[in-house]
Amino acid sequence: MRIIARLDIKGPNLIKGIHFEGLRVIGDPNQYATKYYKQGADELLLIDCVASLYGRNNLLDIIKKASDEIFIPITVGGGIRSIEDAEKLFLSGADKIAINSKAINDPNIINNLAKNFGSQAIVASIQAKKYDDKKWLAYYENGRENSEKEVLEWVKEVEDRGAGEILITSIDREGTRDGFEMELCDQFNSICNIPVIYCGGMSSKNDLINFKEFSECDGIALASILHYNQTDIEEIKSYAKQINLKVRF
Amino acid sequence: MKKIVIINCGGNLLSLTRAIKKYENNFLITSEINEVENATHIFLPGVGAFNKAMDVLEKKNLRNTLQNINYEKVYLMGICLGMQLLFDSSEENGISKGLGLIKGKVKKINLDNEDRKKKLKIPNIGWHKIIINNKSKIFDDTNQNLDFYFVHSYHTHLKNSEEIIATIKYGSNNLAAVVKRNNIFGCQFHPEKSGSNGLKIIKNFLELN
Repeated sequence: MRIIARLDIKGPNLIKGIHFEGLRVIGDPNQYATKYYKQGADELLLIDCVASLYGRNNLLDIIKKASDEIFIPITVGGGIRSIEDAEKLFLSGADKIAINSKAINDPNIINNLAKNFGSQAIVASIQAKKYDDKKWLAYYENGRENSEKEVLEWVKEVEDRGAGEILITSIDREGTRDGFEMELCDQFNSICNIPVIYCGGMSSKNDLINFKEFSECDGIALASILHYNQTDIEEIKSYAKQINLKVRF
Repeated sequence: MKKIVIINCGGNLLSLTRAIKKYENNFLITSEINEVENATHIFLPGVGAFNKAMDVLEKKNLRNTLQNINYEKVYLMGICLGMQLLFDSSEENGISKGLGLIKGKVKKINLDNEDRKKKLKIPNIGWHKIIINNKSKIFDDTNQNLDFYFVHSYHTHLKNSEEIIATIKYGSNNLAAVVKRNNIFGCQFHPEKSGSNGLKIIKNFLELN
């Protein structure tokens, strides 16, 4: 199981919201990225959370700086609309890119990205909001817009189109520290044939116990719990090991 | 005199160059034949598809150059796709010919029913502990948790299994993680993305002579 630190970035700042709203400034993204690398993060996820809105990704400088000192994989998302946008990010040090909004409106971009850069470099980011018993809808534009696509159908489509990995964020839990939305995670665990990263709501290391029944939990992405120093990656990993989840040291 | 080159066949070279920069200030990113011919340490990185990368090498006339180097004197490290390019052929996007520096074929990872039940996935993305079968200086000073970062859907089948110096277990498969023939090394994982252990491998390679 990969323990991934997620950094949402607006302009020059690391920020964090709740349900993707009420964004608060946390600090300098590079400083936090280095801190999480040193704590033993298996991967970093950097999201330009206003990029879609303005149609551009401003993370290039931040990634370039990050890859100076950070020798673990970096996934970058936000505002990717074309092969050229993706290429710029790869050349600046991104190992994978995460795509959501553009894919909702033009799903073919997933096929094109996979063809150009390989499936292993393409993460389909899905923002899920519950609307009925065991039913979720996919949102985009950082949780603001409803695509009216059923998440469990959409995930199959992105997989068929060549995404190499899924990042699933529960909008209802995002930033709340109320625990992962396990119902959603269970559904993904049973239907996905590509790696899935679960994101949104981790409240304490004890939440990890929920993933014990999973055939294989590929990864979890953490934000608030780390940014607000509720725990750190070392502590999370020690606990994971204690309950026999496979983690890297 | 040490002369380090990174062969540029496109893709993200930033992390690798920064990892090398930690230990050596003088190195070249190049696709020029004469620079590659004069190198003592060559990195062959690569992401993306096998046939595309071979096309690039072909176009730059680097296929012959890389095939004619004396690897009893010169050190070569292929990383991820760069490792796969060292082999005779790959079945990725139809059969294409590789450099043939190590005997064997590149095939898609095959999951059996048991593996599928365990929900093993392709691509294999994540950290795996490698098992060292043959000691090599390349592993010096790595810490005991030999975790490295892998991202791949294809893997190498070697004709001479003694050239596999480290493996990982992926379900029912034992996959080649590091291969070595003369001074040619191939890493299926990304040392430049594998934290301090990966950096050690790069450092060790640079110190070979």
